[in-house]
Amino acid sequence: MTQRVSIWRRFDYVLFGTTLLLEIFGLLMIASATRGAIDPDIISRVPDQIFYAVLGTIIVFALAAMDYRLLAALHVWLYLALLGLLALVLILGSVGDAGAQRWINLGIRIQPSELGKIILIITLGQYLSERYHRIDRFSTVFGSLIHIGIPAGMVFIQPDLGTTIVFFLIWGVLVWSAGLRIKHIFLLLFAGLILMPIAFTQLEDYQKQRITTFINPDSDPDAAFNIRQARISIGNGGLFGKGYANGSQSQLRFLRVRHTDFIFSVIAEEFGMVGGVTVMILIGLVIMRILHGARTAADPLGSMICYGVAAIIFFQTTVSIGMNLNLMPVTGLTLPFISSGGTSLLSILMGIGLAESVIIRRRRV
Amino acid sequence: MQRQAANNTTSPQQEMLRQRLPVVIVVLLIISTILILRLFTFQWLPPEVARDFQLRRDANYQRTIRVTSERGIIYDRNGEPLAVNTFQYGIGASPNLISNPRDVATQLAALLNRSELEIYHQLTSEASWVSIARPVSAEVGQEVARLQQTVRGITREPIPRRFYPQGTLAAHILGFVAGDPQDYRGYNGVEGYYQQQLAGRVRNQDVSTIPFDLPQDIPESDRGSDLVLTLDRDIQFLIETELQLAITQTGATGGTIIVMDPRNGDILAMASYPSFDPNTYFEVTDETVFRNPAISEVYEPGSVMKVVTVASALELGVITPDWTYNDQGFIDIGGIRIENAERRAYGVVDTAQVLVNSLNVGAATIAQEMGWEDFYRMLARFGFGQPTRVDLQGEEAGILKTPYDDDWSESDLGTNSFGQGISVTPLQMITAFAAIANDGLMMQPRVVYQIVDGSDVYTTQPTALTRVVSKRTADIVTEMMVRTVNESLENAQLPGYAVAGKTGTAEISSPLGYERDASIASFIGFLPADAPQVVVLVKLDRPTGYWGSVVAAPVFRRIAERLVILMEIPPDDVRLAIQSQGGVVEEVNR
Repeated sequence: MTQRVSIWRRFDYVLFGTTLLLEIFGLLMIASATRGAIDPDIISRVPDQIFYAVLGTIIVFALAAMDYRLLAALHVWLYLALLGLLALVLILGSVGDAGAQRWINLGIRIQPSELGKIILIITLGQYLSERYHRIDRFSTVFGSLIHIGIPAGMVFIQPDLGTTIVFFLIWGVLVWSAGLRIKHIFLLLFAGLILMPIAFTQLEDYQKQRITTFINPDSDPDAAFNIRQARISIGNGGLFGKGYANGSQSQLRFLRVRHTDFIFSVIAEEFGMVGGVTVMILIGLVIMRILHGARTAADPLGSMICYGVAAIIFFQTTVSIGMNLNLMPVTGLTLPFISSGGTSLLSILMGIGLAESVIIRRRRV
Repeated sequence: MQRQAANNTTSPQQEMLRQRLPVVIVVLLIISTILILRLFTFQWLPPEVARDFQLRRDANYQRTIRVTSERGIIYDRNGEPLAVNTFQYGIGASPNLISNPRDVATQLAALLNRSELEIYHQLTSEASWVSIARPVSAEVGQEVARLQQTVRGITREPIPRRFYPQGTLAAHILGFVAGDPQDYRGYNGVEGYYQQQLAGRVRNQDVSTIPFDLPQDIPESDRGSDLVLTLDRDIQFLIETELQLAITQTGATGGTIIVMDPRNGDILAMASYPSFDPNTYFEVTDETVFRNPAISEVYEPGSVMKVVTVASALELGVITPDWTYNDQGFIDIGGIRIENAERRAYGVVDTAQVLVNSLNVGAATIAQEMGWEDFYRMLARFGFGQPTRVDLQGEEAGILKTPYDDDWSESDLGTNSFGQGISVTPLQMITAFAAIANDGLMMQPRVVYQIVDGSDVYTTQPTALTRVVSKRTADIVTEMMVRTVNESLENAQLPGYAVAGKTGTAEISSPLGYERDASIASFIGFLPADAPQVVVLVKLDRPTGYWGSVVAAPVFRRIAERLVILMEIPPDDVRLAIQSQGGVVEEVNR
């Protein structure tokens, strides 16, 4: 019992508090963005998000309480379960928002690729920490690539290019932070670049088309419209914004998918630059706390988990905000903690739970 | 165990992890800075750029519409309405204000006679506003207004519509009105010519597209001016009836009748066949019927032109009433042989006989004696080759070749003298005759008598264009025209009245020369000959009777019989008796 108390004493409340703040802010923004909607799917966004936020918070505490090394010990099973779920999606997945197969329905609809982000951080972290004394061997590096390559390939043919990139990002961050030789990384990058066109030719026509649209979204007039409306929304926000639920662009529905992809534009219009930068700072604070956890982690596995979680949050934030600011192509990646979307919120909160688990068990200094 | 070890020692790998952390943080900061700077450039804008963005945002939910005011009404000279305004409605809805789309769809479907399912789909769409039906009649609009009292979110936008209560009457003079409410404008005729006055002031107004802000009433702005025409509805009806009868009886393919007051240029009536109904202009398949042939269709007038030739020569003193020539039945001018219509020689005849017997040889002889310079100077003075500038849209100038044109040849001087090789509009022709009727003074033909802008009434003044011939010449020519009617045109005679007139039977020119067995038969006459009050032109295209004297003159007479009653012109003896006792009959009332 005494030990249990000591666990919660070492819990990072700043990290948790910040995520909670961001979640609540996200809820308010979703409520603003979906105000006056008729579509039952849109109306249900706020209650859905509350449900997932509560569920996610429970998971944060559950994962924090659970030793991450226990999970790591199950890495073979976790990895196999992930492959099984991804295979299931390919076989009987229902059609998701973008027309790609991403969901399976197991009572509640789950998106295994989102779950995969977290599972792969654990399994790949375990794989690398087991081999840390052989880390500079090419075979280790190659093995790690195979490790991530199989699930990434299965996600790629869904096709979900965004998540595929996140998988490889996790791989890159973990092998790099684990101390991989730079020349190996470049070698593999080079090989990947050569293999990519070959892989592309093996795809079905509709898959090719989706990938082309991803790479060049300007070819899609709808996307161009969204980008222009986002620019107008953000531009009208000014320094302090137009006030909550007062953004004419978002309230009048000129901004499409405003509760997910373009939620940052809604924030920037209604709360201005101050609001936009505040959100960035808060997410930055979350990332910094997690990286701090990486530095103080008890073992390499803990560090790598923190690196991985921080990388996912940072990457998704950058891509989502960058897309709103017309710096990146329009992808389906959500703004962590804020965008509407159950599985995406859950996977990020699982990441937070894992990071807390590492932080709780940090080295005593 | 493991934990203990980890707690106390740091592995080389962990050293690596910690060494690389600063690099991670630097990368993070760089990317964050880029994002924040980018946000800065998006939001920290120079005022003019910010304003531009505001405009673009406003463009999303505000639009500038042209608010058209109520169009002016068109009346005939006696105040009978010829063109008025009515409303149709555009029905729309704001889906997010409708709480019960199923019921509303049922009700609207019944009112608008549309598929209930389609309306239901529209009412449940994500759009902020949907258009459901337009246009719908004023009655349906009333029903929807009743529904609006109980159901929120239905919009009703009035669409002004032009209505012509007299149907097809005077369609060519009136024209029609077409287009969106924002670009609602008149075409052809008076509607086209007086578009600006009728439309009134058009204002630009910012209107919000936010459904709850949509104004139900377009604010009243300056109403268009009303027009009072010189047209007389009864006379118009008379000539349209007679024209239709003539077309039926003679099998003509088209025709025009114009009635004009020579004293002030007032067009009292003007009708052409084929015509259209301006209320249903959009059902017209052949758009050429919108053109008013009376002012736009050029034709070779034929012998009526002899009146102009004779008047011109008399005016210039080239001939006198006593002038004679020896008619041999033909004359050669410019290498072309001109013959009389009846292919006979008349011997020695005087000026009046040229008109009475309609002698082509006589007209050509006179033109030759005038010489081309004087002849074309006089034709131009009579207004040929240039538009009359009547206040109707779509007037043509006609074709008058002169020696200054490349394709003129000397023979044209001969043929032009009796109305071949020269193209005129019916309005030009009647205006020239009206000048002779009005003692040689040519009046500007006009259609609009008054423009009424609220309490301001602007009355157009009769305008003299030019004196084409002296009163003396006009009197002489009029007398000859009376003789023409009396001696050779029984069909045009009107008991009790001295009628001055002249027929024309023109061959129809085509690219392959003149057509056989087809003519344009016309008659222009005025009365009472000593103090003309009305000129009438009758023109029929390709009638079976061929000759102007056979087909056009009787139409003139039937019209004149009724005109003297409608215009209250007493028979000559009555009028002269009253005048000799110092009484005044029929002043120029306008």
